[in-house]
Amino acid sequence: MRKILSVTAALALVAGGAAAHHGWGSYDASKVVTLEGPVIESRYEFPHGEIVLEGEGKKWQVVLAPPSRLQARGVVREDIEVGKRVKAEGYPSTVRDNEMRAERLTIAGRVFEMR
Amino acid sequence: MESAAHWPIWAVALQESVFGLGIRHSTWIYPTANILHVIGIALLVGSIIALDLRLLGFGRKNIPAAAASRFLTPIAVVGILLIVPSGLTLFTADAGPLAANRVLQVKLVLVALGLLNAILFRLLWERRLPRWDRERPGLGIVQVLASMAIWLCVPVLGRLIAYL
Repeated sequence: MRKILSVTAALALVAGGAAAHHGWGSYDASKVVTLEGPVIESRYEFPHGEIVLEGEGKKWQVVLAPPSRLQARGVVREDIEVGKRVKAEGYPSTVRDNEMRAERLTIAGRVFEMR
Repeated sequence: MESAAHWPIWAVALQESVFGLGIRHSTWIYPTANILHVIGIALLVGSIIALDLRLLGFGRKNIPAAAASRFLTPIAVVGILLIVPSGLTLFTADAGPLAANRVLQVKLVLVALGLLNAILFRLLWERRLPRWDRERPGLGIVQVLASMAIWLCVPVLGRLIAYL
């Protein structure tokens, strides 16, 4: 039972992060989603970074570039820490209704392109 | 396939292990594994397709079949030696969803078939390679064509894991 519980906990922890991995093709570029607010969850990890932001009445998984590219563009781990105020503009997933792929981040007045 | 409920427990344990965490958080491990995986694929698929073409008769005026096999097979083996550890590294970073990914599952079945086909080819025909061009066995030719089809599909499926 304890094993089941810990696996469930592990699943809950990672569900957001890894479930987003289904490539970069399935996003609707005809709609732009803009989210702005404090970061609720943050992963500065390979294969790609990810933050959770709230907007339009729900929590969004915001898919970012891989950490190596984030770093190259000037976004360090601390910039997207939980609680930091971040604006993300991007395209919503056509597969999951609470996921978007960020094209651009604005953090403390600085703009970072993800592509 | 995509939801966390379908991820095998062992795969979740692997991705949450110190290895999974370490790979995801390192600046260089994941990109390095990615690069080695691609170089390994180039060596493996390149050498196999070259040998298969030779066995079909292309280039027979330039190089004997047995010599082509002796030269190209070690290159394919080096490719495998690069592909397997780098592939396991990429898998470990994201094991839960990858273990449940149909595209990866089909790819791995094809890899197994391709290896089996290659081993059978060696066992059946290696000694006949010196006179391959004079008497090409029908089954051997079928195996060569299967090899080309399988090893061309494998990297296609591998690449599609990120898109499907």
